[in-house]
Amino acid sequence: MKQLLLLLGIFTMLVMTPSCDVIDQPFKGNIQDTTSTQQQRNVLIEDFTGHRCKNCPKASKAIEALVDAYGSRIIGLAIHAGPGNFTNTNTDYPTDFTTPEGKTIQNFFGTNFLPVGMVNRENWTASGNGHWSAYTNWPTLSSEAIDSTLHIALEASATVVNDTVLEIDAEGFPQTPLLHDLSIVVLIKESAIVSPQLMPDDTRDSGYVHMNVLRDFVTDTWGTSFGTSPMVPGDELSKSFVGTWNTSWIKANAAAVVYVYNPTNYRILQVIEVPVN
Amino acid sequence: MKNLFTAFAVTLLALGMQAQQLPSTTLKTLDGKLVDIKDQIGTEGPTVIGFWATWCKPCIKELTAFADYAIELEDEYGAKVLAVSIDDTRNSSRVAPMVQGQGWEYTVLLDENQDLKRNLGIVNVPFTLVLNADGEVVWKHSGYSPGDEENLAEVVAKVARGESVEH
Amino acid sequence: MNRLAIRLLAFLLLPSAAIAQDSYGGQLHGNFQLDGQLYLRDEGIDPTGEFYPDERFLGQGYANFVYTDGDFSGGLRYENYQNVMLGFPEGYRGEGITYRYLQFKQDNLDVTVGSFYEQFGSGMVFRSYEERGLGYDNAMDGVRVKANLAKGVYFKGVLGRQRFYFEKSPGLLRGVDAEINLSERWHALDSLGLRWTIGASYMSKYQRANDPFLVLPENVAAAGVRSQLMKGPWVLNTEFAYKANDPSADNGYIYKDGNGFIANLSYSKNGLGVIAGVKRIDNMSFRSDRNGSTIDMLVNYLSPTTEVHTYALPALYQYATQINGEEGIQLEANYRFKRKSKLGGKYGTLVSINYSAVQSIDKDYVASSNDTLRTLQGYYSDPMERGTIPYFHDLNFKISKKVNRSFKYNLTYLNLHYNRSVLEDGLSDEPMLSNPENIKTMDADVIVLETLYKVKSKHYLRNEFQLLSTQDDRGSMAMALVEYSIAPHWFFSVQDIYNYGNPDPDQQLHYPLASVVYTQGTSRFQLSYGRQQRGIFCVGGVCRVVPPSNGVSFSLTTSF
Repeated sequence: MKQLLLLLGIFTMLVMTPSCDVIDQPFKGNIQDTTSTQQQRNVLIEDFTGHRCKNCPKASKAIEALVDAYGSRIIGLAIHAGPGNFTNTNTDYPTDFTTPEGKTIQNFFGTNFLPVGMVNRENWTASGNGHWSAYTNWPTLSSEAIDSTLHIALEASATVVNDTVLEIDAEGFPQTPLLHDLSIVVLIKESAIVSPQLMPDDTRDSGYVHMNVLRDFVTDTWGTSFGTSPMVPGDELSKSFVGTWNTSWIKANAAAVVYVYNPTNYRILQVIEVPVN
Repeated sequence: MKNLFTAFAVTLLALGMQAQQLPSTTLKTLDGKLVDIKDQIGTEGPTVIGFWATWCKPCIKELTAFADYAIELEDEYGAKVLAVSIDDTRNSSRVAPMVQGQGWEYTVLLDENQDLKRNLGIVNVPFTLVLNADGEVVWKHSGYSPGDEENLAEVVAKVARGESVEH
Repeated sequence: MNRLAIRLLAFLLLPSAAIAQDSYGGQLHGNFQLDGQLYLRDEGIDPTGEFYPDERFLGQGYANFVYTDGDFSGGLRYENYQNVMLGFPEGYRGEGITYRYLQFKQDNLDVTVGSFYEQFGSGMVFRSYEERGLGYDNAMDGVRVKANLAKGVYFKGVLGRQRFYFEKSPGLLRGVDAEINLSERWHALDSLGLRWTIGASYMSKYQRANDPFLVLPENVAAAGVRSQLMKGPWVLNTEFAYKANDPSADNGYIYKDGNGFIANLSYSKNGLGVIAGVKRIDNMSFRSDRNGSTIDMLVNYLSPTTEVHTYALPALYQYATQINGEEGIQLEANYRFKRKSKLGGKYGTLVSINYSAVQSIDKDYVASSNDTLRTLQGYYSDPMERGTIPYFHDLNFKISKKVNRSFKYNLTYLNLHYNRSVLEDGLSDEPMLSNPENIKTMDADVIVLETLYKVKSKHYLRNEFQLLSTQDDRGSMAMALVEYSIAPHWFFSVQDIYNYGNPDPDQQLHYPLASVVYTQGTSRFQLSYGRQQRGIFCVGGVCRVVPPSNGVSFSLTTSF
């Protein structure tokens, strides 16, 4: 019996010593400058949102804070999709921001509450919810993605010809050997759109500025094939795309987002954002 | 092929029907004392064990409806009735006031961590078992619809007389 | 194969089966459940079709096995979601073995390795449990040691990670709990008729932090002390818990500490049962993932101090514990008028009254302009001051009477106040304090009459008539139910809820439901057809939103 008590005493000590971290100063210092001339891994944050979702502005704010800290390495995309009571239109919220592709993505990856997002679509498995993250976790996930290895560099250019035709050329340069296929997706987003939004204090802000709103997909929802396994550094992949440009969109506020991903696990390997000329 | 299957099924059933004793599990009385379920089972006659919870309305209906039958069975056959509550430690303090308010005279035991419920593979309450005087489980029933208490009383009487019971 | 061979096979197998049972002496128990629903497109409840599943048929099931043999037991559970049904958490995707353990008990020691459920006190510091009907499961996967160190002294230690659907939580948990039954150690107490148990618990979680903006605490601990004092018909339970700084998605990443207090006094004697309880929670959300939400990875359990209603109409407006802060009281009295007494009648009469009220705690928010203090403190709360925003109240009376051998009835009256901004929209206190006129509430009066009539031996007819009268939310509703049971095997029921008072004429719909249930021993098969309105399904303060649906569903359960 005495040995048992001794053993349990030791066990208790081991359990209780890693006590507790009490923090007095919560804010860290300035973020290190991470831009450099060589392309590094960027982060795509897909923010599922709705104009009648009161907590969603907090998620958009989180993306803004990250863009302030990391600059062009963070690419936000606000996808308006989800339960109708958050995304439907009515007299107070007249703009329809939903897109069929946004709905397909939300349906496939499966979630029904907002706001929620995916960072580079990491951690997707056929069973489980690990690919979804709350906006409070985006800073941590982004800083981890920023430090990770770049597997493929991308370059692209987007031009509007004849008012309604958008031409996009994309090129990929593998940086490490790639032993899986690659798919590429091209889409258009627009920022600085003024339209009503329900705010966290339950009031309607009619002058809210929506940023990074997904306007349209140039490719299909799941893109097209960009490269087949195996690919090695030194290879050059390229593809051209033609899409429709809606004249109501403002070129100065718009951007073409190009990303490549692994079709077996949906992980986004690289994403870039280019202005529309 | 069909016959082989039947033989196999019968074998499995026989295996399953082998006299099952309750596994040794610790429960708490309303006084806060810890006891083993095996020591609570009656040895003179059949034992009825009804699993219930303060939030389970059909369970309360079953135990209330069975109360009159329980008294008769106790007198006639020496039957013992145990009402095992699966309320967790937060709700278990509501058990005694509810038992008083309902006017039950059963022996009430608390299975706060739901160990006995889990060991017997029970998923939903109400769940009722009848054991014979040797402590073997001879009858089990899940759920409660009005009238089940009549059936239960008949089963207990049969078990006390040594007759076999079907499920 | 000819019949002789069959007979020989059975003859050979049966004795060896008997031998196997005797020599191993163990028992195998378990249960199995399968649920499925075929959904039908219903424009009335779902005009845009957003709730209608593409799969059209959704099904899920699980099987549990427990093997016990003397001091040893082990078991496992297999779960399968193809795909998860509407209203269940969407994280249940796929299939696999989600629970498996080995347990060994001897003398005063009980060790479990693998998956387990455990609770410290009332659960304010730690509770790991499952509620399959709700899809709630935060099982621990690790090691648990339980020991009876001395007479009346009980010790528990746990170490592990929690379940997160088919994965594990990012944070790891380690905790201990000690409980001393003082009456078993000091006979002086026993002789006074006092039974006094005290306990203390401690739980610490570790989760790696990599936030570029904030210094997050990687180790967060919570601790609690409790006491249970019993004398005769009186029982007094008290518990206090404290949690250190735990910035999380739930509390908006503030570094304020949390605390919780529960006290219950009950009296039960001579047909009278009375319970009085108070509770106050301040910032007690404790998860093994600081970014978790809804019902995911909760380490502790904060029980609601409200009555859970099973009648269909009051159940539409259930309360869910507000883990970020709430305070409330509950008073409940049950009295049984004896048989043959004046008020009791021939068979006795049962009368119950229950009152529960929950409101916000006092909150004095730090101005959002003061960034550092706002993050470090969030708000100040004075425990002596009452909160000003009512969340919920429920006052109900019930009479239960058996009139004669064939007829029984229950009559219940409820008055509900339900704060929709908090319980449906998840609005936090700050906007409600600045704009109280924008708070959406619902007030309702409900009457339920339930009758049970014995047609003949083993044939019973049960009826329910419910009326919910309100001007708010979906308006008034009426419900009628007819149920016929033929013990012990058959059960038929038909019910309808009519939302006649809905302010939108297109939504003044009927919600019918018909069911047939067949029970044989421990197996139960149910087949239902009907239309279900959107609702909230709550168990123990944990709620889940159920979307509206229409279809045929079946459920099969069995245990062995």
